[in-house]
Amino acid sequence: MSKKDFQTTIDAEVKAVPKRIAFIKRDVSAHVKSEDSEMVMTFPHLVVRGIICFQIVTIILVIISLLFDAPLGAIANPLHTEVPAKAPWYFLGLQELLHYFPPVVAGVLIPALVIISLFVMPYFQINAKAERLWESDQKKTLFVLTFVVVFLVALFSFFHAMAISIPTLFIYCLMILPYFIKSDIKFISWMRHISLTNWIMTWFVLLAFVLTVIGVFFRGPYWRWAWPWIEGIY
Amino acid sequence: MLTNKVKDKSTVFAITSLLFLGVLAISPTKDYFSEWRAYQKEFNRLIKDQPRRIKPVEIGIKQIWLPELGVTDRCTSCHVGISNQKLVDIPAPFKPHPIMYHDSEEFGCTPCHNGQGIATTVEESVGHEEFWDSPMLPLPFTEAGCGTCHKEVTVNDAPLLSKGRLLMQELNCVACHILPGFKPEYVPPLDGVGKKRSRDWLVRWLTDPRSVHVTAKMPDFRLNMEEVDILADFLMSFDTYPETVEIIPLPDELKKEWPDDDWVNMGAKHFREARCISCHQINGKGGHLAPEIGKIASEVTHEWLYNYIRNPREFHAGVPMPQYGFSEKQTKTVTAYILSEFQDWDIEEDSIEAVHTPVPGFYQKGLELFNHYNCMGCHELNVQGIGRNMGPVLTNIGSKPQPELEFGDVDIVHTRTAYIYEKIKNPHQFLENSRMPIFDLEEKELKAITVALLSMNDKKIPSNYLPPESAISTYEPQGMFGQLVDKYSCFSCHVINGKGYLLASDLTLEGSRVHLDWMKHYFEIPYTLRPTLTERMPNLFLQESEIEYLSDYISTVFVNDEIDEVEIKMNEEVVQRGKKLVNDIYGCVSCHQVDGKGGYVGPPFNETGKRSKPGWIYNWIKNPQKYRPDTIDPNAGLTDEEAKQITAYILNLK
Amino acid sequence: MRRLYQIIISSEFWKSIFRTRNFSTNLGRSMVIFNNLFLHILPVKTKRETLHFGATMYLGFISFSLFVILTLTGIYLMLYYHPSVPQAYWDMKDLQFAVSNGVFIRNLHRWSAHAMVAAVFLHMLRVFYAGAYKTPKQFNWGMGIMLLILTLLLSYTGYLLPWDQLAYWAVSVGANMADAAPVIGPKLKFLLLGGNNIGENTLIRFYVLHCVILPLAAAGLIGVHFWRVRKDGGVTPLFRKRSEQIPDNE
Repeated sequence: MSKKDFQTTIDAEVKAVPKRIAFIKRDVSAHVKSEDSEMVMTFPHLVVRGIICFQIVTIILVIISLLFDAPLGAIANPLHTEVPAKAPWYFLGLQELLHYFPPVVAGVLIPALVIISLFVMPYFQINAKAERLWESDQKKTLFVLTFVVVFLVALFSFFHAMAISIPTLFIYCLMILPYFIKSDIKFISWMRHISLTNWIMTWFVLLAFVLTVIGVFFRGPYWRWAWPWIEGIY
Repeated sequence: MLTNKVKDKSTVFAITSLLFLGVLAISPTKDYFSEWRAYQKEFNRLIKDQPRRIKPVEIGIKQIWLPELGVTDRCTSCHVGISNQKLVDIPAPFKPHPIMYHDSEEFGCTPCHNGQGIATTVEESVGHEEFWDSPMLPLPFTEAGCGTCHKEVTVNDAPLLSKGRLLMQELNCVACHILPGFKPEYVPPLDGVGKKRSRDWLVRWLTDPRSVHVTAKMPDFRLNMEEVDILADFLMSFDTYPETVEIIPLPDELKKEWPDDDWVNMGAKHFREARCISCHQINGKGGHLAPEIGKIASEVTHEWLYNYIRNPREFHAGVPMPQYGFSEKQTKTVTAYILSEFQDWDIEEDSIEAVHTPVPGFYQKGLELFNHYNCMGCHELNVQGIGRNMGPVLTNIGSKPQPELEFGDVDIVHTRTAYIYEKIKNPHQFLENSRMPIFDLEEKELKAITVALLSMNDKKIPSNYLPPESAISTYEPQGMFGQLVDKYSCFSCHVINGKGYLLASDLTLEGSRVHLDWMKHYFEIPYTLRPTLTERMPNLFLQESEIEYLSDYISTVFVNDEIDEVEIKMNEEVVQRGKKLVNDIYGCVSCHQVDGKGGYVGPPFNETGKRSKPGWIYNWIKNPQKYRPDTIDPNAGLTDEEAKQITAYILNLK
Repeated sequence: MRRLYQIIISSEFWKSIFRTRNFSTNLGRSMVIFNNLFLHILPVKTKRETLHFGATMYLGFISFSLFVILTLTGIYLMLYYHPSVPQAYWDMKDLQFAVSNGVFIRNLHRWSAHAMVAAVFLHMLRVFYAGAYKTPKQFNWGMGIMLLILTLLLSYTGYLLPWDQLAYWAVSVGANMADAAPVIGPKLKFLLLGGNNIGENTLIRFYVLHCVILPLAAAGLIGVHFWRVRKDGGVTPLFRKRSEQIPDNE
């Protein structure tokens, strides 16, 4: 695929939606300036929806609470270690990381990096640009991307972190899919439009999800692997 | 347009609002139909059919709150009739408590029964609650609750617990486990065992002690043939007695294949007089205090047997067997009798003759095995390299957290009670190569030991709730008397000042109890006071001087002046009145014999005057339990005068 | 019904509480928002395109609803709770066995807490994929991240309060993570636990954080967060309806 072809593709799409080129800069929220959106009165439209939302949430949780009792173990006993000692589910991703990396990395470095990057992301111009991944120099992109992924996967594999390497490779495959498949199938063309920022976020979410699921369902005493259908969920 | 929209949303709004209110009402409704409320209503319905008027229970959670004990027991929310003895024929859970040893308002329920007292549902209070570490004791094991506070060996009204503790003492559990309150007991030391036993016998014994003696005290260690061989070789290598043991070579008279008949007959007579079978079993008959001796002549060397009868203490310090005062000849005749009578006739001559070559390296391997199975817990052996090798500490086994018990693959309920029961029954089911031997116990015994072990827990009970600790006797007889008491093992059967085992009588007040002359006569020819008793005072073959000394000592030291000071007037009128009281008014003759008529439970009155001192008779009949708490002789509540009249009557009988 | 409705809303009592009576005109409807302390954080008018489910999945509303439920049930639970060892655990048992609706309220609190962590996280994802963190909303995105962290901290501090084995060991896993931080790690752990081990000090600390400091902080930030949603130009929808027009018959 030549560089020219790629430019053409974009041009064609831009033509299909001329309004956007005219009014929207990429580094601002795309829809702030969309004009002519119809306004309705907040009361009752939004307020009633809000109340209904509250009620539905309450109803669902009340039903859950009636059906399932919150767990209560034996009284805390510092002398008798609970096996396995598991953090609340939303920290199990982190606990799973602890299994792979030294505590400084998993317990401090990674969470701190995640939080900081989330904070600075909107201010970080390159990330803020909603640039499509495959917009400019495709070969270079592929090379850099492959290099980074190989480096990351090698790093993770060094720590035997299969649970991180595999989702990373999976995301990598999805990312390079539009490079190799030129067809105009809707799905592929949609994928072509995803920005690098979104790819990174998706990668992060997938990792968080996979690690949490492993931590919740697949870890038994002393953090060894346990199939939930054989040993049950700890 | 706006109006339409609002209208449509308001339908949704109406539906969600109704649902919202609806689901919020479910929990209060559920609360109202709670289990305990249903029970209380059921109770109020049932009491209408009761013969006596019962006050209906006021609906509400009931609880016994004892902050000092850490008790918040809501059991009475459902067990509403627990302390109402007026209730008859009412089903559980409303039944009144059978016998209350402790007031439930003062002690609560869970200090004895365990269970989650704060819970108000059946499942979570008395059921199997996973996260409650002291689940309710299953009813057959309830006595473990008594044992939590009552630490003495025999606890009144807790037969199973007492049986369990006695069994644990008897089985010498403390040899391998740390168990506060139990004293280790030592069985025959193994120094010189090679001189005492044949290798053949050792092999049979080590393989399975119960196949040798049905009543063997030693449990089955499930040793394999190799281990048995090594251990037998190891033990046979100890063929010298300690220097303290003075061995007299077997007299020539006993070296003959068959001893002379008149010796045997004489020995038989002494054997009977010494009442050996009060303690020893002979082919399954006899006492249960000492080992089976039915085949003893084939089981030990004759030299050992002869010397042991002479002085068992030399071989085994602290053995309960008395050192009989046999003369040299008497010892020989008794030995002759035993050698001729107590033979194993089935034994095959060949096996005895076979020459055995010891297993190579048997000593080192044997020592390892000896230490591995902690043989020194029960047997003393003075050899370098013997070490203690205890099993788990059982101090708080009754409250060991249930998740810490290793059930393995054993298919039983995961409760502490079931674990202990099964573990004692067969330790190997939990751990293939467990060192713990198999004791081959009956179900009742297993239960008793389980109860006793469950009572060993770390429950914290404030001291003002604990029973007064029974003072442990520090009595230690001194001097000549002390030596004699030791020689004749008096404490094996008698209690003096709280020391000893109460198989026979308590001798603490013996000096006030019996006449000196009677005592001397009794030492010479002991006869039983009650025809129904089986364990009898043996003839210890005391020397004249010993009898003098003991009798004088007892009648001057073991006295109580208050008992001796009673004066009994003897005249015809008083005696006649006493006779009437004995025969007609108090019906003493239903248990005691007078002139050959009456019951067999108590001692006959005709003999009593010769034996008992007047002051004793008087004081005894006034309050028998004061002198012997477990006696069945009733306290008839006699007046002083009546007691004196009865005493006079009994003394008058000849 | 209609008459009853009229009677109620025209009564002095109603008027004294709600200053607005007439909902049928746009002025009246605006007044509802203006005149209400809580509602005036919302704009008077809302973009129609943000109302449909696909625009926001209502995740912000859901998170806030859960916060309200948690506050209410939390206050109920506080009435029965002593932050002391071991009374805290016995209070759980009392809630379970003796307090009316105790189990129910505790369940509701517990499950809502879990749901809130999930809802806030999903809300963040929704906002991210809608690109709603871009100028001029960078600050409110930051607020959102703060709220996510606060939610996690609230949940984590609350986890210890029942004082059972689950609580104790889950919190100790977390505390050991803090311990791993370079240089300040051990100090941080000491500060978090109020000692070298989890004990009564930790319980009090977590209790105060859970019931006072963190909820107040969260409530304050939620206010700012809502305000900035309005000031930064409203919600950016994630998905748009093919036709922006909501049918008249809705």
